[in-house]
Amino acid sequence: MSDRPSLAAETRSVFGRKVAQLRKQGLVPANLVVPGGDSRALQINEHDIATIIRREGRSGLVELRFSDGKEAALLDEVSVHPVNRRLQHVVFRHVDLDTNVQVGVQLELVGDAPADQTSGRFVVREMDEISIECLPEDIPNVVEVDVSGLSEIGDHIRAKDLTLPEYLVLLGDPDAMVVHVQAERIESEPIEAIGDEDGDGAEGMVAGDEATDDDGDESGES
Amino acid sequence: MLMPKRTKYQKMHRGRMRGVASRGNRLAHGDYGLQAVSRGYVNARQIEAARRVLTHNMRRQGRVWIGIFPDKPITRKPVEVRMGGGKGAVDHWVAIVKPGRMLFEIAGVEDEIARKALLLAMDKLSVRTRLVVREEESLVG
Repeated sequence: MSDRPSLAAETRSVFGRKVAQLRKQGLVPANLVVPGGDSRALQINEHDIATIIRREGRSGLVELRFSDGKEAALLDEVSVHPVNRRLQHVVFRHVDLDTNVQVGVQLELVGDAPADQTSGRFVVREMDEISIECLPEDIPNVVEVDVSGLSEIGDHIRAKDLTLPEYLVLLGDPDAMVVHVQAERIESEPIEAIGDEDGDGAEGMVAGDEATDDDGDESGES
Repeated sequence: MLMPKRTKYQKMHRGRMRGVASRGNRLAHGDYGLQAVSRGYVNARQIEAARRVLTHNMRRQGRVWIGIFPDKPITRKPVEVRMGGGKGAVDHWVAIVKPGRMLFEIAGVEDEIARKALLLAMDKLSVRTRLVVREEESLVG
């Protein structure tokens, strides 16, 4: 495929904490993972890979150019620094172009939902990406979710309701909620805090004095 | 104000807050958010003040999610008390915030209202924050 983004990659000889020096030089440490084989440590130009990610998303097929040849690889994992938004590390996965792969693809809401135009309700997105299986060449940049039919509170779109091309196979729970319409909350309702598995969130805890003048001790659920 | 319903131990050591937020650093629910760029304690009163500013300026539309919870007790000794005699009583509760932590998320309001509300909420917090928008969040570099 000629339209596949191409990326120059070099074998990396710097490991561990020393890769910070690479980042200062505008290079990103990367790995090419070969299922069933040895992985290969790489370094790539930060600007080039950032351009590809912006254009193609985080789950595309790229062509890695080495000094001794080319290789098709899937962008598998992209680590971004949470504060300065710079790329920290990238993992590529070696793919066989004739074999199906399982990837997560970003969801994009398209269309104007009537619920968003109506006071008292709005569309809530429950999922950012969806897992699909297809040939590497067929991986889409995004999967579109048409929300123009969402108008009433309770209207929803589940994973199985998504319109996918025939060559894409949906993985995971088909009943998983993608988007739904929810009633807006008024200020007097209890405060809601997002829970965390490791306990630094709001699990098992309630809004203190809010709980006394409201009905709620349900802090974590919507 | 937010505080734990019950705790295993009454008082806590100060501890350290090194590093950056490895979790809770992305928009999980809303379309707009406030992300910490410095570290520190955010107490329950500040969280409540920021939440009030958000809901007020969102004109009771949309929805607010709070990404932090003040689960760390901070003790104070009474004034004019000699040192010793044990640790003071619990005075207030704080959340430890590391750079990158998404403090608040909102959804369901227009762009202009969301940005204005979050900018006002920034002033209520004791850590420096920045505004994050979902469409721009996926950008890197």
